[in-house]
Amino acid sequence: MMASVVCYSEDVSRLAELITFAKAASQSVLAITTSIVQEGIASFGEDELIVAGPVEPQKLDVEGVCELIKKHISSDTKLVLLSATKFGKEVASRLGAKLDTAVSNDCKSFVLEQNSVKVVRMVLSGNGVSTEELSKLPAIVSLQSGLLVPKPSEKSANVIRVGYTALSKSLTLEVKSKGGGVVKLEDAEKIVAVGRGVQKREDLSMIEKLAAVLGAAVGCSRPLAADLGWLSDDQWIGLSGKKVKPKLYIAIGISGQVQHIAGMRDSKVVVAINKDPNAPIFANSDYCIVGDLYAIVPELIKALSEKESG
Amino acid sequence: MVNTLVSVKSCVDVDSVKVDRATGLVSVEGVPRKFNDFDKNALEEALRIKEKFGGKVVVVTVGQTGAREVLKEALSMGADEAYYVADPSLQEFDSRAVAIVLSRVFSKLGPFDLVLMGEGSVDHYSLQVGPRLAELLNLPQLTYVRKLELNAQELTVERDLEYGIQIVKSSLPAVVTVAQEINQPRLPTLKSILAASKKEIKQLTLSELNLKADELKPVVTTKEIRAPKSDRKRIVIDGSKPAEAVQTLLKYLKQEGVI
Repeated sequence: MMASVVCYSEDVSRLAELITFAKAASQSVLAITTSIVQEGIASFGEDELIVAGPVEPQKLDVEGVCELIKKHISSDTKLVLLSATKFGKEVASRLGAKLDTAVSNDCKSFVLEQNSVKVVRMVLSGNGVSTEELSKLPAIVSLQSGLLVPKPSEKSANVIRVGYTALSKSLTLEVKSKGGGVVKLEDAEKIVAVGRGVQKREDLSMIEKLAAVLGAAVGCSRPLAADLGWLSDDQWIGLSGKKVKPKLYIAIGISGQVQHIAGMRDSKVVVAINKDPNAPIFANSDYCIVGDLYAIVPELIKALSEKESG
Repeated sequence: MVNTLVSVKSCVDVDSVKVDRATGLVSVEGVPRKFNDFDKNALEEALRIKEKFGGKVVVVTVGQTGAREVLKEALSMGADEAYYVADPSLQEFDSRAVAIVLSRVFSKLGPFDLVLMGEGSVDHYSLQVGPRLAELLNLPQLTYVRKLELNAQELTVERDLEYGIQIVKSSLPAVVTVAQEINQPRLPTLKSILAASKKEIKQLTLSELNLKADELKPVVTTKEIRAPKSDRKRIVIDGSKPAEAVQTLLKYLKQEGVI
């Protein structure tokens, strides 16, 4: 079929978000996924849902998915929407070269215009919100997730099942889980994050105690993971680390470089404890305790434990 | 012997950008530039590969602004050759243009066994150049790499993905983009700085790469950059009396409904 917007995601719930966005911008929407799709799945207004494979996300190859999407792009296609997962962004970029066209990754919104697409995305490691114009069509845009709640329509989707051909020359040997059992930072409701203000590795036990009484996960800024190795890379919050959005984020001894802010900007309530009143973290915090973390944290543990037992 | 092409970028120093208070617009003009952090990790990895297997490390940057400074630093770290691609007929290179230019550099200066670069750049973070280049060269792309091992013309990498660490094997040549966890880049020594000062930084023009400015005209352009709105409350609590400060904080957090 001819569609002006083609959506692809390896994940059905993210695909539903993309279709909802696409329907707001255009009448004709074609959806493609490689995920398992149950019979009678709800439609989100797409004209057709093409299910290729299905293939487990870990076994998907970028080259194969690029070819799959390309097959469904026609001269009518103005926009290809993907979800801004790491895989989605790789596909967007490689497909951009395959079609020799414009791409923007990690977008927060888009507007489909007559001969171009405008998008909004973060740049400068979180120091800027940029509006970009993609002037070659079909434009390819990867969208962040969770920007809206998809609305299913009354009828079920018109599903077409096709095969999937992997094309990659690389081979996946194994997928290891990252620190199984521990709460994933991305899913944590509360996070206690620690930075270079902590002087000794042993002092981390104090931070862990605070996290325990709060029921929080422990994260850190770059130096503690990358430079000192006191905590694992999986606990590193920042531009090139984890992006988190807990209800409560307590930054302890973190100066607040922009790269760190980029990882925790979407937290609901931010508390910072730092002895330097000019630390940049305070500009990005709701509650700014200017003081010595070695005095404040034990006091906080005490008060919270009393609250627990009382 | 492993010959590696490393793509490096001179980025705007994101900590020094200026905001016009009246308009809320961010200006990057005249802001100091620096070596893209991620690309420094890529160069470090290339140097380690060279130390183990022999071969050469060629660094290239696309665009004129800040090119010499970044290439000088790359040579000081130990790169063997340094090139920048610049042409008076083209001022701006978008990700598409950079990938096209790099694909021509790969052919002109090659053969290479490996192309390395950072997974993104700290200023634009478009994440496109690696995968685009891989497509243009019809090579495998290995992105978000946090560990790399080479043996007998085969590459094994650990990729840091949302659902876990994926271990992938690939033939060479391949395009690899690295995460910052992969290594700690070395600091140039006095000796390596002196050695670097004898190495030449060479320019490549578009015509030397059989390209015309028309083919590289940007298809993605930045219209404006605004300062992100921070609507944080910024309530300052004096921490000189810790017990009181903690009580004040807990009162606020209860009001917020987060504890």
